Amino acid sequence: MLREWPLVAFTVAGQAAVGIFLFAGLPLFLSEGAGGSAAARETRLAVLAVVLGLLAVAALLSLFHIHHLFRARRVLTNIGSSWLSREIFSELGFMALVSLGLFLAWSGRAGPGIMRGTMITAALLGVLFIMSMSKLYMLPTVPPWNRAYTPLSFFLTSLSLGPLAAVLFRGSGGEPSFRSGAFVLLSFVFAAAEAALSFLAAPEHGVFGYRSGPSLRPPAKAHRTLHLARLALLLMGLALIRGAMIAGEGQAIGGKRGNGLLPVALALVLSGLFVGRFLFYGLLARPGR
Amino acid sequence: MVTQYGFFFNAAACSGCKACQMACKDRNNLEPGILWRRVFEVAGGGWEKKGEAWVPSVVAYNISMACNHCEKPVCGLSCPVKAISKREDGIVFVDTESCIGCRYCEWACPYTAIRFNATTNTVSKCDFCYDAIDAGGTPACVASCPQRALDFGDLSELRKKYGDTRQVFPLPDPSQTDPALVIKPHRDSARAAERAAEVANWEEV
Repeated sequence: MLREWPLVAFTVAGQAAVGIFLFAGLPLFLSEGAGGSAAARETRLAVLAVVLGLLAVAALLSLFHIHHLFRARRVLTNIGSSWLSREIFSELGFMALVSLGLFLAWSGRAGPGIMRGTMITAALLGVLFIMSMSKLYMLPTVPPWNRAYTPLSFFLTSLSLGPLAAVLFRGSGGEPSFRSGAFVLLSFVFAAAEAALSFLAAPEHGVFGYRSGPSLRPPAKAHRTLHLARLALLLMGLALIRGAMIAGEGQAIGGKRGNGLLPVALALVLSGLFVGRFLFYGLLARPGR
Repeated sequence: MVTQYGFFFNAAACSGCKACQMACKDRNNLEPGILWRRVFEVAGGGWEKKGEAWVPSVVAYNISMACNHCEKPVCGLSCPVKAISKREDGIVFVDTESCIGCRYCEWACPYTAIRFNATTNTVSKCDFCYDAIDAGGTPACVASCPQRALDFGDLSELRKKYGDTRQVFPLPDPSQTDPALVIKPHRDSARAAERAAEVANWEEV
C-alpha cells in the first residue's frame, strides 16, 4: 500500500488542480475574460500558476512509479484502448491549456473571447482527466475498484478542495463581488459527501461497501484503522468549515471572523483524502514479492 | 494452423508436487521470487456433524496456473505502450524492451500471471515456451508433470478432448478475459465456496 505513494500523490494533486481551476480560476475568466481590476488580474495569475505548479508536481511524482523513463515517451501509443494513455493525454492537454492561459493572462494580449474559449476547453479537458483517471481503475477484473465509489471519490476530491481553495485565493484578494459564503457552503457539502461516501460505500470498510471474496489475488493490506483515521480527519475538517461559517456568518472572507479556520480545515480535509487514497490502493495487493 | 494455443489442467490428477513451477523457473532462468507458473493450494472446511457423528468436511486441491493467453487479454488492452501483444497463434507476449514498468497490467490480470522483475524493472510472464513450440516441442511445465495433469494444444482441440470448463473456485469469471484454458475440476471444487476454502500458500505463489 505505501509503495504506491507516487500514485497517491499524483491522483490527489491532479484532482486538486482540477478542483482549484474549476472553482477558483474558471469563474474569474468567465466573468471578466482577460480584463478587470489589477487585483483580479493578479488573482487569476496566481490561481493559474498554482494549478500549473500542482499539475507539474503531479506529473513529476507520477514518474516515480515508472521504471523506464526514456521509454515513457511512447505512453500515448495505445490511446485506442488504454485508459492510462487517455489519462496522460488529457492531463497533458489540460496542462498545455493552463500554460497557454497563464501566458495570455500575463501578456494581456488575448481578447476576452479567446481567453474564455481557452479556459472552457481547459475545464473540459480537466474533467476528462479525472474521468479517465476513474476509468483507468474501473477494470472489470478488479471488483473492489470497479464500483461507483471510484469516480465519486475522485470527483469529490476535486469538489471538496476546489471551493475551499477558491475562498482562500479570492477571499484574500478582497474582491467585492466574490460570494465566499456560497463557496464555503459548497466545500462543506462536498467534503460531507466524501465523508458519507467513505462511511457507507468504501470497499472493504464502508458499511455497505464491497467485500472481496476468495480469488487468485493476494489478500489486501488496507487496514481498518486507516479508514477510521480518514473519517476522523474529514469530520474534523468539516467541523472547522462549519465553525468558519458560524464565525463569519457565511462570509468567512479575508479580514472577517472565522477565516483563520479555513486553511486548517483545508489541511485536515486534504489529509483525510490522502489517507483514503492510500486505502484505495491498499485494496489490491500486488502478487509476488 | 493453430489460431489459439491453450492449456489443459487436470485438477483431479494434480498432486501439488510443483514440478511444473520449477521446470518453468529453470527453463526461463527466473529470478528468485518470480514464478510464471504457480501451484495454488486451495484448502478449507473442517468438521461437520452427521447424525451423532462428527466427520471431516475438508476440501483440498491444487490449481496450477500460468498466463492463460486470453482471447481478450486485458493486460495488453491496458498497456499504455503496447508492450503486450498477441501472436497469430494466440500466444500473449510481453516485449520487455518496450515495457516501461508502470505495472498497470499486473493489476489488470485477474490470474495474477504477470510478475514484476525488480532487476530488469519490467514485467514478465509465461510465453508458452514459444521457441520450443515453434520448433515442434512442448512447454516445460507440460513436459515435466509426472501426473500428466497438464496438456497444451489448439484450444478448439482441447475443448473437443476435455470439455469446456474454464472456471473452478477461486478462479475469476472467465467472461472477463476469455482464457485459453480448459480445466478438469477436482471433486472438492464444487464444495469449496460453501466450506470457506481459500488459497493456503500465499507465501509460495
